[in-house]
Amino acid sequence: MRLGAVIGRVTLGKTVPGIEGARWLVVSPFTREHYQRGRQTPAGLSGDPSVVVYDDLGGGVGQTIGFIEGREASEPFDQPTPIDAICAVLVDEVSYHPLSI
Amino acid sequence: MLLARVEGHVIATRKHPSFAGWRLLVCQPINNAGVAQASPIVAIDSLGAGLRQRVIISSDGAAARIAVGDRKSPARWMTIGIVDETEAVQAKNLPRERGEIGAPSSTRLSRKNPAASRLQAGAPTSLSRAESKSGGPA
Repeated sequence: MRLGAVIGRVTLGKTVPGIEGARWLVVSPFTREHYQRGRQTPAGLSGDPSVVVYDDLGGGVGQTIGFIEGREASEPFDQPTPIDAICAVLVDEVSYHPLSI
Repeated sequence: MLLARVEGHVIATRKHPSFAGWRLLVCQPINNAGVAQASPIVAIDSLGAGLRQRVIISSDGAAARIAVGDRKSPARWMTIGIVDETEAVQAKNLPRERGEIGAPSSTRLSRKNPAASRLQAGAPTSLSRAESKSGGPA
């Protein structure tokens, strides 16, 4: 799971069967520098490419979420679903104490 | 699997039900010298790893699903061990060509571990270590 800031939403007009009406979030993944800021949305976007994430928890723009990438993202579905990123956690608080080396 | 250092934890009320009761650790992937290598990864933890401890994290989702006991969980990264010490061969000591004679010398990177420094000095066996615990070598 990586953490990221929700920076937008996507609405699909036409979809493959099984994911009609789903919520999609555009997420900017946190890098090491972003973790310092906890719940706040980072001032700048991270250098990593943004990800579109399936969401059934109700994340909104400006929130910090934890999302899981890979085959595991489609595990919660009954039938095979072409999803490779899912929102698994709406973050309340991050406690972060990095060791600077 | 990645070597990582625990640098914090995440608190979340709203989450996939399979994560209920699980610790979510912020794990920073590191190299053998302890230098951060990539973006931190949040992993579930059943071992009770503490802040700054080094752990091994695995991306095996099938094992994580068994661990959380939910067949339909999206869980992926989990801590699978707490690191006591690591050992690394320095690149300059590696044989340059195949068939070169002599085993590469190694460097131990553990901090303040008396057992490791004794080992480095080249002396003890597990037997003599047991003796030194019970009263010191003769």
